Amino acid sequence: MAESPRDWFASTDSAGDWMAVDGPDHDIVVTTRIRLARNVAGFPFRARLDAAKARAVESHLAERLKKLELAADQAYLRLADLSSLETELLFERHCISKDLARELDGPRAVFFSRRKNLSVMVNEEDHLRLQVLGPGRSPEALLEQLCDLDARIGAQVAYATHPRFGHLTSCPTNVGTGLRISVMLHLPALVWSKEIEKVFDAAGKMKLAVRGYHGEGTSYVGDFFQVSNQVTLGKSVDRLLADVTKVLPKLVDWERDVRRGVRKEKTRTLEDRIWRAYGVLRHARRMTSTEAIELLSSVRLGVCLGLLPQLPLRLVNELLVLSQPAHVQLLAGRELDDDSRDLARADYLRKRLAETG
Amino acid sequence: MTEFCQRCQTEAAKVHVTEIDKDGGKVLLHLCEGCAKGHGLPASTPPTVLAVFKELVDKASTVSRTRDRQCPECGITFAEFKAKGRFGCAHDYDAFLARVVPLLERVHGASEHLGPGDAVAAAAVPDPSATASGAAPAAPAPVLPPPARKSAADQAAQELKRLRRELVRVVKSEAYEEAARLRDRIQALEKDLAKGFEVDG
Ligand SMILES: [Zn+2]
Ligand SMILES: [Zn+2]
Repeated sequence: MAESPRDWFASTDSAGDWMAVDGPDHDIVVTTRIRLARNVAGFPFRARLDAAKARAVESHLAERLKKLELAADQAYLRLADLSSLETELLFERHCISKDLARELDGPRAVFFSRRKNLSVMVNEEDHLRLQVLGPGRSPEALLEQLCDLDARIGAQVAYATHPRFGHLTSCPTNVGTGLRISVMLHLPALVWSKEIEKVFDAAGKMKLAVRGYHGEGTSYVGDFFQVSNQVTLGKSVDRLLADVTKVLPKLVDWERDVRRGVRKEKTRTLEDRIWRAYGVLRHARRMTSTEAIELLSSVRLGVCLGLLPQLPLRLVNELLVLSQPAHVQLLAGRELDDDSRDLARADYLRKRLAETG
Repeated sequence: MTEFCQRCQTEAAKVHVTEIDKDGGKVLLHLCEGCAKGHGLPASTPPTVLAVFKELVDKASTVSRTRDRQCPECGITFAEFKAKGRFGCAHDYDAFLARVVPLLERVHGASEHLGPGDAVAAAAVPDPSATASGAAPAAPAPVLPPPARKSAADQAAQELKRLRRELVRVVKSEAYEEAARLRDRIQALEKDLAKGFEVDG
């Protein structure tokens, strides 16, 4: 069944599949994303890439990437050939970055397989950004998958490298390995208890960055945070991965401890907050995407604590994606202005939650 | 270790601020102390060892800042790089070597791709012979020197590394005279290295 990528856009079946619904810490560790930054030798970086050269980079890479046999469902898409809604759908499914979707101009493209959750962005901040996305805590397997992809692209494309500095990148914060491991965590209890600031400090001391739902430069909403490595130079990819993964159990335990404490000492407050969020999602007539994510975050916590047994976690994860602007329009089957979107979102959430009783 | 300030992109971010953006979403800002002050926030901490060290390193590089050299390949100046935080081409890492090295030390705590214990993972950098066939027309295949060969430049780089570690140590112990002496040696060595790279092309 060779579906075109547009079938994938048109369907909402697997929109939330990159989030974890099982595994040891799936209640807290939502998803892992790993990326590699690469540039093509002989071309200037993006800051000095004129229009003609940007086109040359894109066609140089298009030709080589299309030759790879990555997966049966692989596709190479130029952003210029997509509607802005389709581009946003790719962004909301974390298939492409916010920068590629919204901030950058010129000839950009993405080569991806949604079944393998692999994507290669062309003309992002670097000529190439390879990324793999997977639910929860399976970073070793994901890294292996990504390094394999890197080797296969590296056999076709001459990367810009340096004998001392390794892989050269537009921004010196990525030089060396070009590796960024980002683990998305759901930390509602730490936010409620205001201990999240301590997480930022602790992460900083461990050379890790904490960022928002969509990564670098994005707001943090719904108590979702991405923890990622800061250092990319001077250590092997395996050691960089270990630096991130060794911190995860600590953060998970921390969130669990606070959850336990809140549950024991502020049972009523907690229950009220979760049921109130559920009530609003179940009955509201107008809702922004930010409000939806905030409420779904509380409901997600309720599901993980067993307070809302009728709701499957898979549905909550799915609704987190489907309540975002482009997906609301996809579900409506047409473009909507802000206000109509907020109405359509509330309608959809009401309907889906009513189905579960 | 150090995250860049999201405002100026050049200083280390020391202050974490939560702000409400125009859409009503919360934004977490990582700012340096200077930008945090400009943001109407108190600086979080008294000057740290790192800040003092940075000041010394900055002073050390002011001498080479007398004229703002351009990258011969893409024409970018270091000031332009600093303003945007992005290099113009792969050559910039060598063109501004004397300033790139301390920058990388500050950001990554290292200025070499892999340490001695990481030889196995060197596979992360592709073997140039494997990429030769698919190389871009204008691209000289990246040449990685065989690890066994130790050039004078490598030795100088090693020495530079040692001196920088030493500098961190003496700054911590507040031995500022010793620090100044080390700074001068580092500076001289960096100049030599930069020159060497220019001659080598
Ligand atoms: Zn700043
Ligand atoms: Zn240049």
